[in-house]
Amino acid sequence: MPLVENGVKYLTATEAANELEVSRQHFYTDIRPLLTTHQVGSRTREYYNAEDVRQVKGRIAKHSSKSSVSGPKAVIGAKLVRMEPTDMVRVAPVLSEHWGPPNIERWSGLIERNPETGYMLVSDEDKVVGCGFLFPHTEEKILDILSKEVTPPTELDELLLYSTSGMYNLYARTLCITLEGTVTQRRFWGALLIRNLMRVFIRLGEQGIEVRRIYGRSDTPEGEKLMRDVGFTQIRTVTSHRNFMIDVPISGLDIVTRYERALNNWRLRHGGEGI
Amino acid sequence: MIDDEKTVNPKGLVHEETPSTNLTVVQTREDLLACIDISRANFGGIFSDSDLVEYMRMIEKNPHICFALKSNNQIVGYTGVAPLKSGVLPHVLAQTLPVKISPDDMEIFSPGAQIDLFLTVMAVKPSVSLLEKRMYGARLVSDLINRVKQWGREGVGIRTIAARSNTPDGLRLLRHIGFTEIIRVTPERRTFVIGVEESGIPFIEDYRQAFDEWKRKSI
Repeated sequence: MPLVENGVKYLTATEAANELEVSRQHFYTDIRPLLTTHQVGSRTREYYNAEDVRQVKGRIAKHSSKSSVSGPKAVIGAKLVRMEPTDMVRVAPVLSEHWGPPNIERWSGLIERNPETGYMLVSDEDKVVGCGFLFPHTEEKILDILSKEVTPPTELDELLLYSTSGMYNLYARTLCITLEGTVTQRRFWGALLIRNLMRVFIRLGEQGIEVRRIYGRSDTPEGEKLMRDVGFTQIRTVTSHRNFMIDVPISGLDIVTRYERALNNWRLRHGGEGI
Repeated sequence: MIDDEKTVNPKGLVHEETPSTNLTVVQTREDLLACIDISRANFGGIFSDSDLVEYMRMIEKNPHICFALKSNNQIVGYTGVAPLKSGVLPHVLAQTLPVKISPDDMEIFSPGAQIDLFLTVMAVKPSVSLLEKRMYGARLVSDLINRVKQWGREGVGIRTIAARSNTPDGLRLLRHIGFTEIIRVTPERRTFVIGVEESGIPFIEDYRQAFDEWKRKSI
């Protein structure tokens, strides 16, 4: 029997699995990651909002009737696309939801200067639902950004151009997902965004680009969780934001191993010595 | 139907209840044997009588290296830590299984000590339900976090916290806590560390603050 507190109905894992007509095992492995867990009152066990469960059920029913769906059946899929300068017009509404209207001209200029920097998440319904930027900066510039409460704008000449003879530090910035949609949906898109951005990092290895460190920061619990899940190290902060970093040469992350393999292959193909 | 594991709350709602738990420091051979059973059930491995004697020697030297989670007076999970002397951690991380740590390589959790903390094991009885497993796991993690903060208040200097794992649950847990995965020296276990001085993990910041407070009072 569901628990009702303050007018909100909560389900246990067993009740949610029954509602979705899936096994508890299936619920824990495939459905639970899409839901927010709640602790109700002083109880230590986890509960799920019955309305969230109902929405997941609706999406499963909707998508199970379609022939092709990207990602888990319960949510709308999306793919990461490298941005052209003109795509800033499509991305601007998502940025506006979080930080107000962006300076489209300036952002377009940055993408034009280094086309490997801007990425947008486009849903299966051909709508831009998120974006992220991987800016190659000097480490001094990144540490300066991390020391500021408000991220300073990036000037054109602060955005480095990639070359196979350089060594780069990346700053992952302005990662965001549209505020539209359910928590489940947005969480799914957030995971897609950050994981695919990490694949961009591997592609830099395939192009012979040497990366020393990747930095990022977050001010939301969901963002922090994503960064940790990917394997970022939480480093000290002097602002209200949480700072994260991957130190490539010492990292044991799978994604870094794949990047190093790609870089190694590029070097061997181009007559250099492997790592 | 209401069985032993379910109760009716005042609102008349029926829910499964997980039994209350408590954490204790492992000090007796019996408790240690129960922990070893859990370890064996999770990871396999052979524990000889001499291993047991060696571990009891370590507990006698430093009583705060093994913590058991009890439910209904039964041990359902436990955590093991080793406060290592300076320079020992790289050798420990380079060992293939089973890891052998000599009592002579360990410090005592005492004010002013400088240690590297190696998380030797964190395990829950595999026969419990998934919900219990998660609850017990969370309890062990929060206990470890509280102990780290307490060691800060007591003036125990921790340079690095390290752990190795190769199980999906273990890897997820270490990432969740905020450990950084580094290049592993041996192939059978992934290696994770927290560099206490550089870390921005909230409980490590709490530890540093407590330790700095202790230093201010002690100097």
